[in-house]
Amino acid sequence: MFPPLVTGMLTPIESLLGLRDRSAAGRPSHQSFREGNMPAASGVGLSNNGALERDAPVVEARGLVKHYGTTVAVAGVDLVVEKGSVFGVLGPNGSGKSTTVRLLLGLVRPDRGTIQLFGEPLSKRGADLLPRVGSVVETPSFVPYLSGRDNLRLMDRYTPRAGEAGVEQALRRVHLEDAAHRRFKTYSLGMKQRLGIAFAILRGPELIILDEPTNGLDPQGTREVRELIPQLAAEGRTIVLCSHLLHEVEQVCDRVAIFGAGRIVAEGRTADIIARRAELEVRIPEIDAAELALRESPWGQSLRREDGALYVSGPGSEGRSVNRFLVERGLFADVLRPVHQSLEEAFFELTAEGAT
Amino acid sequence: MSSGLNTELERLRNAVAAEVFKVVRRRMTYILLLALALLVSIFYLLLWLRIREGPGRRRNALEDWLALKTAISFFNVTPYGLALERLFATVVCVVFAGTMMGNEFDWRTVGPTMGQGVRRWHFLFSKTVISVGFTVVAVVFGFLVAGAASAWFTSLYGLSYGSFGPERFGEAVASVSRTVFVIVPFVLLSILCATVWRSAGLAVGTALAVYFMEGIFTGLLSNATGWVSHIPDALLNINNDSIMSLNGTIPGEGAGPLLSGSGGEPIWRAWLVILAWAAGFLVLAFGTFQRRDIQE
Repeated sequence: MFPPLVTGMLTPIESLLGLRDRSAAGRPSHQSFREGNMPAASGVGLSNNGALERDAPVVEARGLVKHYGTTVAVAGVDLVVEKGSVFGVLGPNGSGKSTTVRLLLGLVRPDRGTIQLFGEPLSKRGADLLPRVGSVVETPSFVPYLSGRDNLRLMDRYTPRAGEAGVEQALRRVHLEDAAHRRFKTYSLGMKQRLGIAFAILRGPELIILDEPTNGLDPQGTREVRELIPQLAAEGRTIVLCSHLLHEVEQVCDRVAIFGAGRIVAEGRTADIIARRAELEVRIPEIDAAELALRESPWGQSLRREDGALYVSGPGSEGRSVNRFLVERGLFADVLRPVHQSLEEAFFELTAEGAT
Repeated sequence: MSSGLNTELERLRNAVAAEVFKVVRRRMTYILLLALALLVSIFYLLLWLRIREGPGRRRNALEDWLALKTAISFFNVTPYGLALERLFATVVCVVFAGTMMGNEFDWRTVGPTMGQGVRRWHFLFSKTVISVGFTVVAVVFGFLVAGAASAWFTSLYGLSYGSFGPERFGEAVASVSRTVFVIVPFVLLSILCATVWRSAGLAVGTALAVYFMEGIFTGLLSNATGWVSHIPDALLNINNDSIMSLNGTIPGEGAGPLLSGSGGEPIWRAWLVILAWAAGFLVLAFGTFQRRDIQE
């Protein structure tokens, strides 16, 4: 950016101003729900010289720690968001997810740890990296006396990218074009939320961070946002979605991190997290005999009986194996049905584990 | 110039342009200028009402009455009008700067702005530039209002307009610049308070409290002896008086309290003290904002 001489002069100034890294990376400290914790394959490609190389994760945070006085807001968070993914961030109030989002946007400085966006350190290159990020943090806030349109124009003046056409396109995309001339202070909560999303997508960002984007929206608006997110992802953008609406996250996110007490207590593919308590429901007329037989099987330890059904879990507990096991013993099931935890059940279970 | 430096300058220019975009669309900007014009006009109106009543019968009444007439004549518009401005424009500019910075926290707009990669010092720099720019506009505007009012009285009572020429114009420009110079530290204090307390109300309240209360404490200390008596020398008001005295003085006591103050400090020291305070406020504001977490 600057010639070496100027860079040399700037380095101590940047250090003084707190723009430089303060500590080294930490280690992952949470349950991972993906095989070997490997990055997604979507970013793998060949370099010019033919060597296999992988796109840097869009977000890579290591060992993030943030205190407010004696309160630990974030206690060693490691977070990797791969390019093109829709990444859900879940957690109860005070679990550290909003502080983590603020750390990712450079609004809050970490006490320890490092953040890289698009493979480059945020602390050194924030002014170049953050214009590639669109965000809505908590309730969208804009200048109250300016219209919705002028607020977007204003934001585009700071880091020009979208232009007048981009402003209009963003307004259209959130169906706010008819109210764009009205002052922001006259907007309903839902309209403010829409303007927030318009701001987030204004400059065609590669990474979009949405913190509770459906907060205050009516069912129609919620549905539109839920539909918008996969569209944005399909355009190649990476989405980080913070929400306490677990159903919403389950529907749109391919990966999830669950926060609890300032840490990530679980992280992985949404399907894997939901499947962590996958069971096979067995309904069979000879339930006592079946239970007796299954108790002697490798699945015996985790077997449970509830509401006139048996629930089998553990390695190899897929329907075909269990069915064969029962048939070989002359037992014929009426129903063999896989049962998954909902994300909500997983969430409560994991955050309770994290708290203890 | 390297492309990196060009990029930085462009970002800085963008930040200033964004502030201009906000300020020109902000109703408060025009309300404050209107309030300034009204205050100056009302003050001249009150003086005119007093002059219209005649000198009265008390002792030295005639001298005071004549002094007042002289003070509001166009001949004396530079020292007198700008002395008025020093009071009113300070209030208006402190409100402008404090709300401009403090509202960013009150409205929670500072987060989205910083979150899109605007450098913090660019943001504060643009606020500072616009605040100082507004101070210049306010002082010039108020001076023009004072000029219009005093020209009317001068014509009404057949008073002296003084000479018109480049020399007087140059003197007026220098006087306006001095007035801006003595107001700017309070503007910067207002920005500092807004940055520290993240609130427009607290910022304006504190800066105005310092402006008005300092004079009271300075007055109390003026009769002290020993090192305590030198404390006011290091404060703003006395040094501001010294700078303002360069604009010219009004003869007689009838001109009111606005030209009070010793103003007897050496000019070079007055410049230095004011500059030191201004620089201190600025450094503290930038240091605070640069390190602060953006948490509403």
